[in-house]
Amino acid sequence: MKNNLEQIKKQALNDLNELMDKKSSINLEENLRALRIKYLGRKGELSQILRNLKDLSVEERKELGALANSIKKELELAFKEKEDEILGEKGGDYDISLPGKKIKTGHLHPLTLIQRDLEDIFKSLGFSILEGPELESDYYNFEALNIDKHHPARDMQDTFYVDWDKNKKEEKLVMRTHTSPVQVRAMQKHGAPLKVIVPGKVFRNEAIDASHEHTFYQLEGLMIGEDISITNMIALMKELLKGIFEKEVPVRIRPGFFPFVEPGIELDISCQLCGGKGCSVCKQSGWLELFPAGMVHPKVLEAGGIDSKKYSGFAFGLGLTRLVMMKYHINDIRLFNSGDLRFLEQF
Amino acid sequence: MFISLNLLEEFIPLRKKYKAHDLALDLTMHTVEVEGYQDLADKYKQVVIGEVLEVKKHPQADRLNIAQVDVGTEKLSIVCGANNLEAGQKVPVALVGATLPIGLTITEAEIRGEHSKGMICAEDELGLGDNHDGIIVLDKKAKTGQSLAKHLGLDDIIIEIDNKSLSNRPDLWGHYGVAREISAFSGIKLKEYEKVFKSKIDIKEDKENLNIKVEDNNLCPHYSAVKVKNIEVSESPLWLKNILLASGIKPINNVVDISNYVMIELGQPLHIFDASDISKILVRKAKQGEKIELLDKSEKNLSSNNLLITDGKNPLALAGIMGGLDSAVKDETKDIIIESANFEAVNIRKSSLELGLRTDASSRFEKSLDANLCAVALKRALDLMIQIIPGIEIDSQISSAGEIKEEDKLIDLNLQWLYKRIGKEVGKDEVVKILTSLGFEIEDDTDDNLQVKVPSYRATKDVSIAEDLLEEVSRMIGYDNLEPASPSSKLEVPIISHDHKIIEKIKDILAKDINLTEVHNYSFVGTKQLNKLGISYDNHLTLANPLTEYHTLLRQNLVVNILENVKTNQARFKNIEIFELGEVYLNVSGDLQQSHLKQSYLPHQEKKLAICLASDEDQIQRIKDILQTFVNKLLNVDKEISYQAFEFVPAWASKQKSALVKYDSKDIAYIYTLNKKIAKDLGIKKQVVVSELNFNVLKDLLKKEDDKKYIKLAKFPALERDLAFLVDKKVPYKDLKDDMVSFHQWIENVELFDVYQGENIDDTSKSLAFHVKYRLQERTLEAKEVDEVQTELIKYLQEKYKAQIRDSK
Repeated sequence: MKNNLEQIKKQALNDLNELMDKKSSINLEENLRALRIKYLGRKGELSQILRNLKDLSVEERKELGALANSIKKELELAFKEKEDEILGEKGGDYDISLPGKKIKTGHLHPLTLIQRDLEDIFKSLGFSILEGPELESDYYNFEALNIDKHHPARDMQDTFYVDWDKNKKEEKLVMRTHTSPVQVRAMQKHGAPLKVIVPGKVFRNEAIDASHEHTFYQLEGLMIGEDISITNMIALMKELLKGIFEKEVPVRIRPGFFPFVEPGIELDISCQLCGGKGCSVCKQSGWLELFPAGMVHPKVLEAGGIDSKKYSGFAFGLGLTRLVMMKYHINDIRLFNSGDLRFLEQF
Repeated sequence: MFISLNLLEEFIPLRKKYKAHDLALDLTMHTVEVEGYQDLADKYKQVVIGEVLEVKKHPQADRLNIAQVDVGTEKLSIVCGANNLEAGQKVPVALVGATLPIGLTITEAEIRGEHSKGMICAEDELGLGDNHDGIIVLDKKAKTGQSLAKHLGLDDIIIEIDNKSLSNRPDLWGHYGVAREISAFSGIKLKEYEKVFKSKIDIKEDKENLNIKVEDNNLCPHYSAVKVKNIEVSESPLWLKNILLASGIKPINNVVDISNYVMIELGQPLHIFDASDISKILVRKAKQGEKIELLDKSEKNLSSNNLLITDGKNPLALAGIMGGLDSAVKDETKDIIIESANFEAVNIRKSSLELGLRTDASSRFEKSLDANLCAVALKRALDLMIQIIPGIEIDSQISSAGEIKEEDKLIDLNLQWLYKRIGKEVGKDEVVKILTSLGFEIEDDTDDNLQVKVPSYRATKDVSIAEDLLEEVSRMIGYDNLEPASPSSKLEVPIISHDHKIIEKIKDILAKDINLTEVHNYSFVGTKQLNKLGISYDNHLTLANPLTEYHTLLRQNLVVNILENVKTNQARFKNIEIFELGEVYLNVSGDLQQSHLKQSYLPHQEKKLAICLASDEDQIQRIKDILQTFVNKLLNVDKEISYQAFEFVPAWASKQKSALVKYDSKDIAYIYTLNKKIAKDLGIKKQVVVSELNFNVLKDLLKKEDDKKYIKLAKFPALERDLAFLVDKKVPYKDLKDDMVSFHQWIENVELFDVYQGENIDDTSKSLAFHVKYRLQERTLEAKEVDEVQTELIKYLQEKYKAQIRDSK
């Protein structure tokens, strides 16, 4: 009887495998069911043997009963496996080409995105992130930056002035025209050495059109230490560009004038649109002005309470709005403050 | 500013060494930004001078002639309609292939059966004037075959320099200064200025000095002038006109043109008066209310800030800005006075801004010019007059008032310091070479210490400290020629401002967890907008110089502008869910100082966060869901925030559906439902809910919740019972809930899962359904004992709130 049981098991597994090998069989499911009944059904071969157990001695019953049960379990497992296999292949009438539905997602403003990209780069270079007021005093926005009342440099930036405390005949305040005022505030608060960036909103009294805005975003950078040099500044600029563009971009550095730095420089990058060949965006020059920088003027260091004999440093200003426009080829600057979801939901 | 290469060539022989492109590049890399350059000859490519050999009538057309024209390389047959065409003339001929300034391209043609190769041009066709009466007839001496551009002196290249990059360089406001820079970076030798003079300036000894008096030597440090007689006012020669035109200055007459020519050469503005009736010159401040009629025929009302040139009584000119009409040089003028003066920069700048007059002269004076230019400019003007206007006589000595201070500006330059700041051991020889090429003189040279004398034309403002010399040396080396060097700095974890971290967290939760879209709006609002919302704007900070009526005030909340965003999007989006995080500006003192030098403070500025939902359905529940999720996520808690009515609901919001939002006992936000009438006035068609959150309170809460510790997982299971009942609809949820939670210590939590009002319930009632969760930390509660407490709870609610139980299980 023991042999019988082993025989049934062997036979059953054989039949099962044979059946499964002939996958093309149309009645695979049905045949499988028939096979199951043949071996495992109530009147199946295994059941019959189990029924005959009662005629045996207690010892034999114990031994063979255990064996029969284990074979039964084994076969059931095998059948289950095959059934699952067949089931797994099923699902026949599902149209796999159906689309997925869009799950609603939120969107960060493109300026937030670029700001974060830059902050990540600067944090990795050990720069702190600070903030400063958008409504600023004439002192921090101009005077402390070596731009005195009648300095022609004030022509460079058309300023929004704000009336404040007229009774006290206080000086007009300004909507900051750049993030540079935070240079002096940061020096006064933290002293030297210093490695900071200041992202933020800035304002110019300029009529709005597709390429001019009175409200846009900048990122100011400042590094002060002992014996910080021009070549240090250039190294940082170049490293920064690698971070921004994630490749080597041809650059050129030329002199530029800003009262709060001496010397001042302008950094141009090879025009990303025409690859430096010259196009309308770069005014045929092949170069795009990316950001101004320079060695902090000793007067600015002194306004910040820093000994200009002992310390030197550099500062730079990145136009965030301009960078986003370049990155995504956005041709209308007004979109940033438009609140237009058709625009904002693209980011 | 426009720079003519032809004029530069007078001072420095460039053309052999430089192509325009390379010169523009070198200027940009070492000195000032070149915006572009233009070759004037490009306009007249393939237009040459031809000699008319023979003119015949066109056999088929009465009005046309056929001319045989020698253009040097060949003889052409050209059909021409002009009636002034004659044999022997020299004429401009556009060859086949030429494109004229008017856009016409010349091709070979057959005109009524006759072959024509080219075109003989009229003035308008070449863009040289408006005349179309006939062809241009050139001077008999014109060279056959030469390009027209060359003949007209138009073979010039114009370089345009960005004026902004010149604002600290008074010396570069004339060609000679630019030539000096080019000489410094290219090594090409610069001619001495006075060596280009062509005339001998003879002033007879018996000529007298002019009577010149300056009242305020601070405003006019130096004034010099000379009188010239027997002037013949006429048109300037072509070469002079061409140089002026190239520099963007309109030629007027020989006298005025000479003064402008000297200005573009040297950067020193001159002024020329008609000398009749002028016996003395008095430079004084204007009297308050004094008037002057200027050359541009405008009349200006002056103040005592303005400086005048007068004849002792009447104004002759507004000093350094513009001449007066009365004293202007006229066609019949015979005697003139040439003024070459130095005026104080700030005063000129102030006056020119105040009077709204920016001129070529004022934009130079306001850069602080070198007073030493006065004398040499005057000499140059005389030199040119002698060359151009025959028969003139210098009728006075060169006369002046005001001593030019001869003090040397010296700067100590330590070479080791210089190398450290550049980041490169440049070498003493190189430093000395660069500085001297720019006109600096080395007065003393001891080891590593140089004493450098600044030339007068750089000393007025531009160069005064060692850092300025650092710039001179490094820009002449060229920044691109410096090897970048990484700075060495201490290892330090950067400080990220607390505000900054929270901003990032807030934005992430709102955009990434709650799926709102971030907007940016202007910091400004307008009175119209505020009027519509019924917001008073008396107390707003105002822009002193607004651009438009929409942006005149500084915003005090974010609501006003975010409502506009709804309008922008309502036609295209069913649901609008947006937020803004930004600054507001209040008309009270804040805690930031205006300067560390004085005790005055900036207005209070703080960040706000606004969330705005708009849809066709009411969004009040949705905003609550959002706020709850937001606060839980931001503060990392699981705590219910609460809502209560408040007193001063703004006029634009619905009283019933606006609330003060509290977390613990802190006011964290308001929610407002936009009043339907106002919505209509604003043109908003959707139902709108706005919440404005207080950033600073959130920040403080976040600091507190930072100490959060984890809660141990409960060892024993909770038992939950549901309870639904009817109560008077005026009973606030909050009271019921608080009472239920505090009813028994086993009650761990009570959660509302349904609110119903309407059908099958009488008007005065609402149905509320709660999950009540019971738990003990020490053991498993038994169903029986929980049921007992639940029964007590029901009884309590029945007594206190007259609750009618609908269901309890």
